[in-house]
Formats: sequence, C-alpha cells, structure tokens
Amino acid sequence: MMPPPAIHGPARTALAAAAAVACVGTAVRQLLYGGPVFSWLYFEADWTEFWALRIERGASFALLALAPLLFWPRARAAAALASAWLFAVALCTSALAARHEVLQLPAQATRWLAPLALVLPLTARLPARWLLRVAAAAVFAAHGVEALLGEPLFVDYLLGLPAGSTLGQKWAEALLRLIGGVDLLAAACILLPKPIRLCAAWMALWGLATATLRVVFGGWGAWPETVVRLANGLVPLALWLLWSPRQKDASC
Amino acid sequence: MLKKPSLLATLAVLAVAAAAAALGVVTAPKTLNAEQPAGVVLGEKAPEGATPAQWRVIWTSNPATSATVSWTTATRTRDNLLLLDTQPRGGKAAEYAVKQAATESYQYTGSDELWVHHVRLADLKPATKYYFATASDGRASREFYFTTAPEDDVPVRFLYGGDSRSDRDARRLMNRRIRTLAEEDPGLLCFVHGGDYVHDGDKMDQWTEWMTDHELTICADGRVLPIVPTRGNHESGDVQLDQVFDNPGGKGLNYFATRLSSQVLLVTLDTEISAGGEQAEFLRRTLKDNAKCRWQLANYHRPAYPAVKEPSVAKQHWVPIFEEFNLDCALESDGHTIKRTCAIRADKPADDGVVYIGEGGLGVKQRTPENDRWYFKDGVTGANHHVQRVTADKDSLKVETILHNGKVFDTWQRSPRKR
Ligand SMILES: [Fe+2]
Repeated sequence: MMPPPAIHGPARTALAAAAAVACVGTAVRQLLYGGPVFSWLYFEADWTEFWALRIERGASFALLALAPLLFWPRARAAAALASAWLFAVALCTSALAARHEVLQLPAQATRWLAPLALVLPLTARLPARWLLRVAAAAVFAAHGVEALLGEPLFVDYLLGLPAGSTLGQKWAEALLRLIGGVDLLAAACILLPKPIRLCAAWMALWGLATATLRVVFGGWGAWPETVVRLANGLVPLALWLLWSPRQKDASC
Repeated sequence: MLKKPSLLATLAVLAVAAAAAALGVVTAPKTLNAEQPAGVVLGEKAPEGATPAQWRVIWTSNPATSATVSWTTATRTRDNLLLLDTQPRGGKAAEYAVKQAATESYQYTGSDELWVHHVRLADLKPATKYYFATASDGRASREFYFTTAPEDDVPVRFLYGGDSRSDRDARRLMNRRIRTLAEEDPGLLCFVHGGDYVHDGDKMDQWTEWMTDHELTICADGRVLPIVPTRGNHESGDVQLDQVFDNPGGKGLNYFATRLSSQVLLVTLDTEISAGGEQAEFLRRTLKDNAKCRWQLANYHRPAYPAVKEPSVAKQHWVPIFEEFNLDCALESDGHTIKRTCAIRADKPADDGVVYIGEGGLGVKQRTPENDRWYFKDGVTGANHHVQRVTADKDSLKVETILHNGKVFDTWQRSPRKR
C-alpha cells in the first residue's frame, strides 16, 4: 500500500496548486512561443525543428493533462514527471541565458521543486519541508541578486507600472536595489532553523504580487507569464499553512 | 663593393619584403598595394602579427561627417596609423593628405593575442569617397575606401540584417551576398547589423571569426560598406561588442540616432538595457526633434511583434512612442525567420500604422514562423537566409527581402506621410 504523503491538508492543496500552475503556465508558454527545451534541442543539440517541436508540444499537452492530477495525493508519478520536465526547462533556460546563467536554475526552483515535494512520503516529512524552504529561498535569492545587479527587465517592469513613468530610471534602479536587499533578507530568514511565519506570509504576498505584475505590465495576453510565476507565492503559502499554530507539527 | 654581412642583410631585407608583399602588406609606409595582391583573399585568414586585418568602418550618429575606422593586429603594435585621402593614392603613403594616429589601441578582453585599433574621424565631407589604408608598426594594408553619407535630400539605399551567430557557412554565404549587392550598387550606403553577431559575445575566438568573415563584405575594388552596429542578446553585457565597434552610442549604452540623409532617420536602440526610462526619453526626444523628417525607421534586436517568440519590452516602452510620432518602419531581429507585419497601430491592423520587418537571417538556422499570428494577415513570413535592402526616396520607402541566392522574396512599399 502507498504510504501517505509528506505534506497534507491545506498546505498540500497550496503545494498542488503551485505545481499545477507551473505546469499550465509552462505548457501554454511552450505552445504559444516555443520554450527553452525546443530552443536547446534545435539550436544547441542540432535536432531537426520537426522533432524538437514535437517533443516540446508533446510535453506541453502532457503537462496540461498532469496538472489536475497533482491535486490527487496518489498521483505521485504525475508529480515526478512534472518535476522532471520543469527541471529540464530550468536547465535549458540556464544553458541559453544571455546573462546570469547560474541564477536561472534557482530562479525557477519553486516550479520544479513543488511537484517533487508532492512525491515525498510521510517518512520524509522533514526533508519535504526543507525542500519547500530551499525552493522559496532559492527563488528569492536569485531574484534578489538579479535586482541588486540592476536587471534591466525588472527596471522596465517598474517603469511600466501605472505610476512608473513618474518614477524615472534612477529612482526605479534605486527601488530595485532596495527590493533586491529585501528579497535576500527574506531568503535568509526562511532558512532559519526556527520557522518564522511572518516571513512565509511576506514571501507569499510578494511572490503573488510580482507574478501579477506581469499582466499589469504586459496586458491580459501575458497571463501565462503570471500563471507560471504564481508558484513563487504558493510555495511560501504552503509553508505558512504548515507553520500554523493549530498544526501539531509546526516546529520545522 | 658590398661586404658579405651587408649583402646578407640586404638579401634578408629583400626576402622579408617579398614575403610581406606576398601577404598583402609592405614594409610601409613607403608604398601600399592599391590592388589586393595575388594569393591574398579577404575573409580567409585570421590576423597574423602586426599585419592589419579585419577592417571595419563604423557609423553611429553623424555619418555625413564622422566615422570610426577600426582594424585588428595579432600582436601589440606601437605605431598605428590611418592614411586617408579623398583621392586614390595608389599605395603611395607619402601622398595621403591625412595620416592620423589611432585614437585608441588596446587588447581585446578575453584574448591573449588580438589588439584593436580605432581611428575616430571627424569633419569629413558629406557624400565623399574616402580612400584609406591602415598601418601598424610599418606594415600597411592595401587601399580601401568608403563613402560618407549625404546631407541633402537624395535617394538612400542601405542593407539591414541580423543574427549571424551560429552557422558560419551561412554567414559567409550572406556576407558574399552583401558584397555582391554592394558591387552591383555603388550608391548602397551602409549595412545595419541588428545584433547577435556571435553565439557567445564574451568569446573572442568567435568574434575574431566574425570579423574575418566580415572582410567578405568588402568589394573587389576595396569599397568598405560602413556598419551600423546594434547590440543583441548574445552580446548582452559583453564588453567585446563595445571593443569591436568602438562603443557605438556609448559604452554599454548602445543607442543613437543616425541621419542617413536630410530626410532619412534611423534610430538604433538597445534591447539589452532598460528600454523605458532614459532610452525611451531619448527615443521620444529624437522623434520629436526630427518630426519633419520624411522617413523614420528604428532598428533594435528583440522584436515587439515577433514571428516566433514572445514580444520584448519594446512593445510596452517603444511601440506607443513609434505610433505617437508615426514611425514608418521598425527593423527587428532575433527570431531567425523572415517576417513583415501588416501596418499596426494600437495593437490592431491600421493603414497608417508602423510596419515591423525582420527577423534575422545572416547566418543562423531558420525557424518556421508562426504565420497564424494576427499581424501577419496582409503580411509575409518565411524561413531562409536573408538580408533586407531599404530604399528611401522622395516618393516611397521600399524594403526588399533578398535571399542568399539573390532572389527577392518580398517587396513592401509605402508613400510618405504628411508630417
Ligand atoms: Fe537574439
């Protein structure tokens, strides 16, 4: 008989939602624009366009089919498959990145680690929680470093906000450095041995807010960009739920 | 009578001179070879020693009166000279009116052996042929020439293309096509490269191949088509692009406006730095200041209306400005396809809108475009190595997409707007 999962209750629902949105967002982006796995297979590994496209499209439809299954605790194979593809996406993003290559794998950590946490059994309760902490910390640390380095895309997102144009580039860059510092602090805080629920709450809110920023900036057509990033808020939300004082095992 | 050591020394000097002449250089600046010597073919050999190679004429802001002439040597050289005149001097160094020392010479970052030399020229005469040779430590190149941009209202033709990064054979094929187009058309003004020159913009071994291949664009009579450089994502943040092209627009801030005639404006933008903020202000200011200019074009790497990928931030930060000031055409790269959109305004087809043309085919594997995107209704897509030829005169702006074999794949034309 299959052992019960490491994460259960509302936290599991939040985690399954994180994994599901990562699957849906990734699949839709791949179908609409072509993804990094296609680019890597076609341009770097010299596959034919036909097969690189077929592989990625096949994976996209598989991800869409897997997404609802992730809410079912027994569908661990589905979670494992989703995690494997999302990891491949992060790996190819890193291989193709024009700058900050080493930051790409951690920057997408919630996407490929959330489904992996769904796979772990109850006996791995502690590792599963640490996996979630590491995932959230990695995403915030990677984005924090990019922000401190003045990532032009982030500056453009700030300037593209409704009041952003009044901000001006210098202030947008200064604000970005501040945001980067806060992100790094949050990343360190979530890894402290004693769970700090406030930190998880902040990360959940900030993760959801920055994901929403993509549609605010890019219009409704950018919804897959928002959806794929919702995992950055949902994983800390799962931690916040796990660390509820009403939970018997809220100690890690 | 010569003593034996003197005789040997004389023979040695003659042997070295003969060897140097065979390599296309002389121990100048006494004489320069006006014609390319037999056995030396441009674009075939990496730089060797102090022999000048990999010539570029670079245009940014004022091509009617200024340019940078750049070349590479494979060793550190102390005396780097540009010999310049408005008349061909047939290789007689003493006859060149101008002998200008390199404004800057330094080692390329990431290379043990390659040195770049830039000579910045100012106060040139518009629409004038300038004959030049380059000399490093007495080793001079053959004579080349380029023509400065006109300042008055005359028809203008130039080439545009991007993405030459990963298929070297195709890149060389396209460079030969560019040379043929230039040889067929003495009035062709320049070559605008839309970025992604090489796969890894921080690797000098790739850049030196690109620069050697760029020699293939030089015409048989020595005519060099000036290049207008653009930064692509494969050069994102890499100092080498600034070193190869002498900081076009500014170090790490590669945006500038080029007047190709009194009535043709080309604004080159940088999609690898913040698009909003200062760059958007520059774009707005430039288009406002040139509001009466008949033809207005923009050039940048990552597309606002792509044929395969997702739109870049150019769409949010630049497209509204293009539309506000009635830009005629935006030249885009990055997608590795052929595309021409319908005229677009407010994200909808509109006859008075902006047309987006590209999208990179100077030496990369081509992708199948997503031709079911709404903006390709009344547009064109394709997948083949290509370059665009832009012709701007009093009555029309014409953009032709020319394939590697010289066939014209697509022609688009528009009449002047009321400005
Ligand atoms: Fe590109």
